[in-house]
Amino acid sequence: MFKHILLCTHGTAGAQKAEAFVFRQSAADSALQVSVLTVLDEDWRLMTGDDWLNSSKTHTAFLDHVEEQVSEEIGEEWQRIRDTYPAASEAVFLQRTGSIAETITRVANKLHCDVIAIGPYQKSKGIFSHAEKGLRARMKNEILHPLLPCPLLIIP
Amino acid sequence: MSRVKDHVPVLLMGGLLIVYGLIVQTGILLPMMKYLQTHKSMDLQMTLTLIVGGIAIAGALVNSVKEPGNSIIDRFFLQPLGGIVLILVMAMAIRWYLEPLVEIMSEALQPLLGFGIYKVLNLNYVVLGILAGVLLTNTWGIPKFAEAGVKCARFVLKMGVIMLGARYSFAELAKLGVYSVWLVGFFVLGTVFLVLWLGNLFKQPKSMTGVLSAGMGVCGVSATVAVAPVVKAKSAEMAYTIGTILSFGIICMFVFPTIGHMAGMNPVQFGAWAGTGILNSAQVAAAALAFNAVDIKTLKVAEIFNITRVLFLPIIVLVLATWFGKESGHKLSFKSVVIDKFPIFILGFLLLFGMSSAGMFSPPSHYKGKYIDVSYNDRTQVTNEEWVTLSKAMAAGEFSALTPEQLAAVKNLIEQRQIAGNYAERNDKKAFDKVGRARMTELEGVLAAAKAKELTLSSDVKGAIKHAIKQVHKKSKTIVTLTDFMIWFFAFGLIGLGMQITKKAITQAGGWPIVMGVIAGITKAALSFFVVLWLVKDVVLN
Amino acid sequence: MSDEKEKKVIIETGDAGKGTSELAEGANTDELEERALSVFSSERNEDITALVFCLITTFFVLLFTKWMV
Repeated sequence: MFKHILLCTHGTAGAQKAEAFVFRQSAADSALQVSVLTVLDEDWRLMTGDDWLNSSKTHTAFLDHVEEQVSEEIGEEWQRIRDTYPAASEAVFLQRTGSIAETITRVANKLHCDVIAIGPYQKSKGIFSHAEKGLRARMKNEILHPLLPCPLLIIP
Repeated sequence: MSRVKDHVPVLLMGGLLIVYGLIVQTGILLPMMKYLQTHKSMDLQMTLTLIVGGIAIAGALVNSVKEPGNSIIDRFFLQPLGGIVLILVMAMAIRWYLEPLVEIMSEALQPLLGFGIYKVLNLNYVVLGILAGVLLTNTWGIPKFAEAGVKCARFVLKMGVIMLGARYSFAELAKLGVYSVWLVGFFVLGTVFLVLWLGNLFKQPKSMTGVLSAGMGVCGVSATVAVAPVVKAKSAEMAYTIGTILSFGIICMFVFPTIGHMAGMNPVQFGAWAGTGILNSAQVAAAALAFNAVDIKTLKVAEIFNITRVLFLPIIVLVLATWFGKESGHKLSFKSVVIDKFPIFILGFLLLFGMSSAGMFSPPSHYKGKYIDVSYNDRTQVTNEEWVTLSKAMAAGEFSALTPEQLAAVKNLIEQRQIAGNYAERNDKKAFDKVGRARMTELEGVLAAAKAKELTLSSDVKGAIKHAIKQVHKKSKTIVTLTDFMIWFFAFGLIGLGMQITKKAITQAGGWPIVMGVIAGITKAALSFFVVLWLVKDVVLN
Repeated sequence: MSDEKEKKVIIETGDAGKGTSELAEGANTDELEERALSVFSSERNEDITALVFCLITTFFVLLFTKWMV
């Protein structure tokens, strides 16, 4: 039915459902191309808050560390996907930095994907529970929907 | 012509400022200003709005004609102009309108609520400014034309800290320095080790306790940012730690001044407590100004503690790097951590302090920028009503319990309508001043005796004497103006920094960092509260 | 499709460690490293400019409130 799926994941429980669905499809249909996209939220830049004491070098070192660290963690995530789904060996893995909704649609446009697959919206857990995967912030549908270049598939 | 469109907001703000300045000039707004109690700043309002408005319009016009370039004028004046004007407009609106309005409203609501919102939450212009900044970023976001200018906040805040240097005396700095090094040293190291111990107790990864201990111990987000690469923190650990520290700091900003007022702390005690207990250094300044925005005593103490803490940061980075050991893989030398990161603006602070100690701003005979002027002058007289009150009290024999010297001073005050030397000696300035000052001391003695209930005076009489003494106490204009500049710098810087606090970052608080952070933060705040109350009681700051 | 198969893993992280990561974009990166809270190209410049501004302000305050009065 579709030729090219853009699977957006950063390894949360919801996104793993999407992974399972997409790779089940791709295992059944060898012509289906899958691109896996993980976005590094550019709002990491704002995480330095109202810090005004550090020199610019320290800021740079911090953001470089964030990027390096997150890339490493994303690499582990991708390895897990490859280990879990044999079909994933055919997939293309991409990492981009930017605001999430805009980056997803930009990449989908560029790769001429005909469907974007994401996991369902998940409620943020309580403050005192163990740190969950990913940031607490959620992507806003109001921002994503008008930008969509192709159908959006949400796998519950 | 899209460039013109980009600069419309700045043009508009400039135009409004000029119109406002002109309206103020006509005096139409005087009744309203009197109601808001801002009429004293009328001249300042006029000059400031006209100047800022003029510069804004000129800059915006140049911006809309000229191609954006990369020259010094472009980078430091034309590009940031929009943001600078925006923050200034916010600062003015808050200082002259929002703060008085909040005060009046809170007074009106007091009978209904049983407490004054203004007093309890310390909603003065500093706190309101930060709140306005936070609100703006999290609702509309920082407008595009202001993005570059908002980045000046840090720079302006540094200017504020440098200017603050002019307000210390040598003795004060020495005394406060000793206290701050001991207190800050103890609490910084104590908190760092407490968090590391808690991390061990709850079996949390080393990298997470590393960032959290620096953040809770030294100076909040700044320390977290400095330490994260050193201890190789994981992304979630950094995110949760920063979120926790930011939220904790914002809560502290409101809670500390309120508790300080309730516990009846004096400015010195509160400054010391805020400087030790509050995490983020911008929020220390904010809390100090929130506790006491008119008199900058609190800020003076808090900033010394703050600066001591900043100087501790490199040490903690070194300690954590060693503690984290080989795993980090980073090689940190003493030079790369301490010398390369030494904040130069602190040298500026010391320079201004040196200039002030050398007596540049007020001669040594002036006491902290205040001096006593007993020469004849219309302005130094008491009012007619006060003179009548004093004469009547004298006739009624209310002053019978006074010592002969005190009685003579009061008699002379009634005679001359002001505190002064002997009229006959008016040409011999030295003798005249000496007698005048002696009389003032006697009158102060009268007030002290009345306060100690050794004698009873009606409140009108006390008020009249107080006013007479206040009239001859003058502030050095240089010091007053420098302080005004400094306060504006702080307000500007703090509004700009408020704009850097995003909801996204705050709501990121959670997980283990919040559990350990709250334990460590509250322990630190509570312990330092008692230590400060117990230790800092007898530091006298003039 | 074959083109993309050959490079299965594409990690674009920029030059981590040199201050040119993607997160840094959007600030005036051409000069040096500053991105968060400053328009200056380096910490040193900012501090020195702040000091000079303060001295100028102080000079004018002294001029108008002390030396010219």
